[in-house]
Amino acid sequence: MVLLEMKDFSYRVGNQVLLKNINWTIKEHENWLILGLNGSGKTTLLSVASGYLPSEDGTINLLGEPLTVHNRRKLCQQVGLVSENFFSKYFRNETMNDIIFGGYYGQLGQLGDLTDKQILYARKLMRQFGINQSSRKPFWLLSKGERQKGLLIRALVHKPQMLFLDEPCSGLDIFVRMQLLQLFSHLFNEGISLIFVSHHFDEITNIYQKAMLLRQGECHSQGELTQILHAENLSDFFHSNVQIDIQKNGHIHFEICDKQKALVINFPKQEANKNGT
Amino acid sequence: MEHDKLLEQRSKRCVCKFCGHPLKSKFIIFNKYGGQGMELFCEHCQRIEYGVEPEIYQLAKQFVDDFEFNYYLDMDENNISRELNIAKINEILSWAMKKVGILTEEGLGKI
Ligand SMILES: [Zn+2]
Repeated sequence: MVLLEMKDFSYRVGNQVLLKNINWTIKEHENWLILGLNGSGKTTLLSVASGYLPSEDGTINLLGEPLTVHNRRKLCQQVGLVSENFFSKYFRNETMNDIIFGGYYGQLGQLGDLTDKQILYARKLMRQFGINQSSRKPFWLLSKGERQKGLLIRALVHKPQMLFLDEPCSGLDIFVRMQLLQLFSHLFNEGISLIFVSHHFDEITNIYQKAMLLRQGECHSQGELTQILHAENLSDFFHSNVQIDIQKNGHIHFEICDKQKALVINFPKQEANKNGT
Repeated sequence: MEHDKLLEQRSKRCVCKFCGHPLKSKFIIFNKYGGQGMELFCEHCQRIEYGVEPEIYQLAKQFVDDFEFNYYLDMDENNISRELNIAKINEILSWAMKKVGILTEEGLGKI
């Protein structure tokens, strides 16, 4: 089954083109890794693909249905979006509790009464993630780590078929980051397809089979992870000579070989003190 | 009940569970082609807010103020903690009234 299909998809804000002619197909049991530099359109891509941001030019099929204003809410309830970049545009004074409860309805806020079972399940996840004490705090007062965990719970309260993860580990300490990476492997084993945006090669585990490189809103390349994360392809993507080594356990060693691309700071030489001290 | 209709009715009837101000239904996420997903919003608190029945809010406010109820002992006593306490009592009262069948999606019924 095809979970997501984007055809000739573009997205603009004013005169600025954020995404251009994206063609992308995600099949069941596929996990994707999205890599891109800052401002390459990763957050926009995930927000649109998950149905949260209204689509513009081109077509999107989500979970086998063309995504429209009429079925968007229903489809959003079957996928999860974890994006602090996206949600921090809309959440400010909302409490963590209310933000998580909104997850049951596939949009920002709550659309109906919750059952006891739904409330208890959300509370259980909050305890598991260690953020039950933050439940009354407004979003703007939460640490980045608390926000990430809250948004992840929000996406998991209904078991999603696809989980769009936009830099979910940023702002987390090393222990929680490891916990989350293990959790993602578990979610994959539970049959959830993961679409993972990261800046860090050390967050890439061996559960990802596919990859896309995004540059200035355009897809540079996509396909099998081993082909995309290939030295030649990445060198072209970064406009720089890079080396990459993917180990069997999925760990990646990445190095920039261009000496002229290395950032070197020449500190101004201090004049020797005349007294020699 | 269909969600948009439910939200429209709540915006006419319900108030913010924190401050008691009326709610507005509006699009928070939109682009040049229009809005997406009606949300309930409290202009006073500037937050997306599902709201509570006004009669329940009045009871919760009275309870917190008259009995100096404070669930959040670790917080400084100020208007923020007062509003959080009112919201907490609103949740408890709404839950209880739903359990005994007085409160439904259409609002408060008669006992
Ligand atoms: Zn309010």
